[in-house]
This record gives sequence, structure tokens and C-alpha cells, in this order.
Amino acid sequence: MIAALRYEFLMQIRRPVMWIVYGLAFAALVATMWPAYRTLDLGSGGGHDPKLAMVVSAKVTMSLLAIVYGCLLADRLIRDRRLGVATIMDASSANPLGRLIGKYAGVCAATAAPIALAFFGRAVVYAIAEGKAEALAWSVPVFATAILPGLAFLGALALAGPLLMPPLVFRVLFVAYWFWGNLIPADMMPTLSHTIFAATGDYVAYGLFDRGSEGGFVYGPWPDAALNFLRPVASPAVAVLWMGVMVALAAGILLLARLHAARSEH
Amino acid sequence: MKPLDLWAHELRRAGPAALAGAPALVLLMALLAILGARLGSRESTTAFMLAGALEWVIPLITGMAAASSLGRDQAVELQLTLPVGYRSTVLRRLAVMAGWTGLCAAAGSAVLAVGGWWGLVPDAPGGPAVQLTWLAPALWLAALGLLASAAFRSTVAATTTVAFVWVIELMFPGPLQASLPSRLLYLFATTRGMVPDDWTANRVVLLCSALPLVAAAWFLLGDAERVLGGETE
Repeated sequence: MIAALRYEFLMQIRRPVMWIVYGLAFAALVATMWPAYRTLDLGSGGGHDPKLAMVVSAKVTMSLLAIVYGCLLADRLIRDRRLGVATIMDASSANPLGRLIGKYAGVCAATAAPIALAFFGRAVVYAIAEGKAEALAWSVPVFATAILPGLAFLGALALAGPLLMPPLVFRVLFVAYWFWGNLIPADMMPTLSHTIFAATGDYVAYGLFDRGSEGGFVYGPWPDAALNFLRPVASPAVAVLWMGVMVALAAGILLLARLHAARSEH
Repeated sequence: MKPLDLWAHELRRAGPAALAGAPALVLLMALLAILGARLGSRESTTAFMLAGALEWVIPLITGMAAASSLGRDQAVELQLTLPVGYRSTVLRRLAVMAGWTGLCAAAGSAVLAVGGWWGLVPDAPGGPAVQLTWLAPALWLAALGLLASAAFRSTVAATTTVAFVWVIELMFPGPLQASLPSRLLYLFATTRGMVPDDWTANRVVLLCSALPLVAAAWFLLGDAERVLGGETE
């Protein structure tokens, strides 16, 4: 497991094309969101408060760079099969589940590295520009609670999804899912976005870090939206529940991927 | 091989799964047009979703297909020695996919026309120009996908580029339409709002700017060593 992790991590992080695509995406993000990304204020708090600024930074990073993360992961698991090395690896004495988990952890960590770089880099710039070093202290828990669980779930989805359908179909569906299930306003159509199953980390932002508390905004059920029973009012307990849901989904998807592979071995 | 055989081969090579996406979308659109009122969707919302299906999803399909059009060839080195140029093979592949998706989009557009839904989309023009709603962004994203695929030599990087451009264009109509150049290159001018007089100019600029993208890809694909050095998917 550790060997697979190390190997997959190094293979992915040394891919120049991954850094190029992230670089282009980050440049596009900064160009498009310029005034808001400079002040880290989306109109609902942020700006000069280091904690809220980090929360907003996490939100921006997550809603745009996560699609790059997911798409870049989509070929990693099926690659073994396509190159014909999967059968050789199966013949080795390594435990297949351990290999799968090592691969998952390795590629996800490598592909999340540019996201971490962008997020912590922004935190450092903020700390220097605003002269508030506590932003650095806030950035660590914000990253761990608002970004990492979502990335864990998306990583499992993007790795395992192409096992079930042709890669082209998966890519179209994955992008459409990201837009439909995470970004659109909840009252546009029945959607998973802004529910406990959305990967954007809003429940942590509002539940744990009190985003929106200044304006008295309560995050939770949307007026006139379907599936509102999946949108409890944000609180610390619900934020923890969201993290649990993300990790459980990731574990479930990986288990299904393992069962799928085990079935096709026979 | 006769030219017709080549086209038929590309059609078979694309596979049923890739070809089924666009007709499935049209089927969903037809269902929404018929059942929308019964499901409780307001007329304007239904019209918006139908136009959105054409203007958002069709370009996503063509863009992703174009971005995946390289890198799946076994033994490219053999293909490069054939009298049929590799570039024309790739363009033929693209034309098959885009042509099929375009046919389906035209059928979807007919669904909107029959139900009178186009009249409910505020920014949609009348007459045949309405087809530019999906045609211009679909061709532009396909050109971008092809160029990214040729430039990165990696399917996953090219599809990521298309996906990111698609999401950012959908999410930020405001900032992207604030300045003239990015407004003229904005992909979803019909459904995400536009300065009214700029709609036609936007569509024409999109179509024209797709040409240099394809030309750049054509140039890159002419370099045989570059084609050989790419990642196999």
C-alpha cells in the first residue's frame, strides 16, 4: 500500500501537464474573479476578517479548481488496465485492496498539491498584505475541514467512475454533475447543490466558521427549492455530519470499485 | 479503402456509447417539453432549461469529444506511414462526431420550434439564426478541445481544459461580459444574458475565432514526432 502510494504520488506530481493545466486554470480564475479574489469578499463577509477571508478563499478554490482536480484524476485507475499492467499487478502478492487505497491516496494527494499550494499561497499573500498573521493559523483548519473532505469524495468518484462507463461519457457526466450538483442555486431545479451531499464545503463554512453570521444569514433550507429535507440548518454538528458523509461516500465508492474489479477478475 | 469506408469506420470507432449521448439529451428535452407543465415547471423555466440544454450541453459534448479525439490510436506510427494523412483522419473523426451531435441538436431545436418555446427565451433571435445558439459555442469548444489535445498531447489535460472553460463561462457571465473582447467570445450569450445588440456579433466572432484554433491544431498535428511522443490514454 505504501509502495503504491509513493509510486502513484510521484508519477502524478511529476507530470508537467498537470501543473500546466492547473496554472492556466488558476490564471483564468484570477482574471475572472479579480476584484473579489483580491479582497476575498463575496458580499457575505470576508475581506478584513482573517477567518472569513480564508473561508471565502476556500470556497473560491473549491468551486473552480475542484473540477480540474476531478478531471485530472479520471484516467488514473483505468490506466493500469489499458496499459495491460493490471493483470501483472493482480498476480503479485500485494493485497489488491491495499493497492487500491494506496493508489487512491497517492494520486489524490498529488493532484490536490496544486490546490493546497494555491490556497496556502493565497493565505501567505493575505497575511503579508493585510499584516494579519493569524490568517495562516486559520488557513490550516479551514483547509482540513472545508476542502479536504470534499476532495476525498471527489477523488473516489473520479477514480471509480470510468470503470462503469466509457471515459468520454464519464467526463461529460462528471462536468455536468459538478455544475448541477454543486454550483447552481438550489431553487433552479431539483438538485443536490447546497445539500449535505454537495462537495463544496458550505456546511463547514457556515456551521463551523460562522460565515454569514454578521448579516444574520442562516444557511440551510432554500425557499421554494425541492429536496429541502437534505438541507438542514447549518450548525457545528451538521458540519461534522457533512464531513462524515463525504468520507463515508468516498469509502463506499472505493469499496464498490474493489468489488467491481474483483468480479471482473473471474 | 474508399472514402465512404473511412467515414463508416470512424463512425463505428466512435462507439455506441459516445454516439448515444446527444440523442439521449434530445429525448430528455422532448420529455421536458411535454411533461414540464405537469411536473410543475413554469413555462419560462421550461423554455430556459430547453434552450440551456442546447446551448450548454451540446457544446460540452462536442468539446469533450474533440478533446478525446487523439491518443486512443493503437500504433500511430503505422498510421503516419499511410497515404491518408493523420491530420485528415483526425479531422474526419471530429467531423463525424460533430456532425452527428449537430444533427441531434437540430432535432432538439426543432422540438423547441414546434412547441413555440423559442419565443419564451428573451435573447433568442427569430428565423434560422436561432441555430447559432448551439452551433457557435459547439464549434468553438470543439476547436478548443482539438487544440488543447494537440498542444498537451494528453487526453486528460485537454478534457480538463474544456471542462474548466465550460464551468467558468457558465458561472461568471457578469465579469466575462464586462469587457468587449471577452463579451464577444462569451459562449452562452443566449441563456446567460448579453448586451442585446451584440448577440449576432458574438456568434460571428465565435465562429471566426474557432478557425485559428483549428489552424493551430492542424499545424501542431503536422509534426509527426510530436504526435508520436504523446501520452497514451
